[in-house]
Amino acid sequence: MFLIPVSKYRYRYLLCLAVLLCGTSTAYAQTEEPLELVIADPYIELHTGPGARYPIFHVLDRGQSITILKRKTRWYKIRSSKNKTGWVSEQQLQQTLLPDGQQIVFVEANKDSFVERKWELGVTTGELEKAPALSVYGGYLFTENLSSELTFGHAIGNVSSSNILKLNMLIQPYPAWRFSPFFTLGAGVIQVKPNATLINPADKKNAMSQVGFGFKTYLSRKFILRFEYNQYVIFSANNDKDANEDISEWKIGFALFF
Amino acid sequence: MENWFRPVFLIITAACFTFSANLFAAEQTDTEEALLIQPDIKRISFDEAKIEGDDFEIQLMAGFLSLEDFGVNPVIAARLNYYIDENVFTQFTLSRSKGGETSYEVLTGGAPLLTADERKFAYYSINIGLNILPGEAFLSENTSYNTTFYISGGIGNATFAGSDRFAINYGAGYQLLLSDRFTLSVDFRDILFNVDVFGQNKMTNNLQLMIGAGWFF
Repeated sequence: MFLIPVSKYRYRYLLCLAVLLCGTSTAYAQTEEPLELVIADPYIELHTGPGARYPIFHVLDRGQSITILKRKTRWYKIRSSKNKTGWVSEQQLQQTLLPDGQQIVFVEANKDSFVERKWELGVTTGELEKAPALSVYGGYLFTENLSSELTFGHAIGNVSSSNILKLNMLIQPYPAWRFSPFFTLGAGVIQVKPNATLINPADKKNAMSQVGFGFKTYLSRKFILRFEYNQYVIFSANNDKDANEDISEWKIGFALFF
Repeated sequence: MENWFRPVFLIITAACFTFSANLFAAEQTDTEEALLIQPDIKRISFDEAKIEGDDFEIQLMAGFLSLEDFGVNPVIAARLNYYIDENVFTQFTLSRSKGGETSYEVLTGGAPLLTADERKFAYYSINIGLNILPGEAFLSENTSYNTTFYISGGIGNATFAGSDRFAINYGAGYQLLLSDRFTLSVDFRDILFNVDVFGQNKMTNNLQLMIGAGWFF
């Protein structure tokens, strides 16, 4: 069992997550040759910014060629052959052709990529023994059915707050279902920090095990909604105390997959 | 956990292991059969992820935080935004500040209510934001910048006066996009959490005004 002084490093964990997110994005930003396309629709509209509410300032006709420069969410910055640059929605680019006349289809993440995903990064919120709790997690999928997740959680109660660090195995028997159920088994460490206003506060740190179930559902693009319920057994029995503690937790959250 | 619950969990887990292997095999066969009918038109699929996408933004911010009863103090923050689509984004914020002296401490000159360590304010939050008013700002006849007015709300934790305190926050901001990548923002928040330093547990409103520079990547 790994025992890490969690609270001391809390912000560092969060920073690590930020760095992880950055890393993933950079990996996706490998620009190959700039993509050149020919407009096949009667016309496409150029907006001043990456959004439908930014005004249209120029229209390009069928047959004109465009170069794709970059993307922001589902909007593409393009340059026309006459050197006009503007933003076009992905929807309008769906019917464009390659210079050799072949049709191109823009494929974004969809339900199939949800089943085939390799990585998950998410945040959840809920309650740990009636105390509001927040957690962040990262998961790696070994197969469609089996994955492992590392979770860092923080529960903020009236008399104490707790930090949880846990590693679990997750089994998702029906990955393609609309609401795909999963079951987890995990182990980790929990640190309980009594509030300063209490007399004689001392941090308690204990190993714990966890069992839980929940479901994941594909929302859109690269997003998952997730709900879960967990039971923890905290190994707090010692010379003065006979029994371990049982606590429960529910949480709901979103995750991004890659 | 109830004792009867545990074996039930384990049985379900074991059963799922067994079923999942079978199910996966069955699905593969289905896909192979479906491919017997070949499509007439060949389309080239292009993965949108291959085009450089700027969906993340990192921001460094500084400003003032009015900690209720503890004066107005400088605050610094780092923020990571992820843009889900043109309208919706998530925000992850870390910030630091420090509480000053209360009026009571100044007037009486007596024993301080908190130690120097307890006056430190550390905060994190997870928010959902909405770009509600995208627009343009015109600097001169030929120069314009895209802008957006956003609202944001979320939950987090404030560590202050020796305890972790569950906090909610809401606010609004204005962002100027100087280029596709570089942004300037003004951001206003109200951070609410309970403080029990004065004997009773009272909800405090802590107003925060920050300016920041951001980078899309």
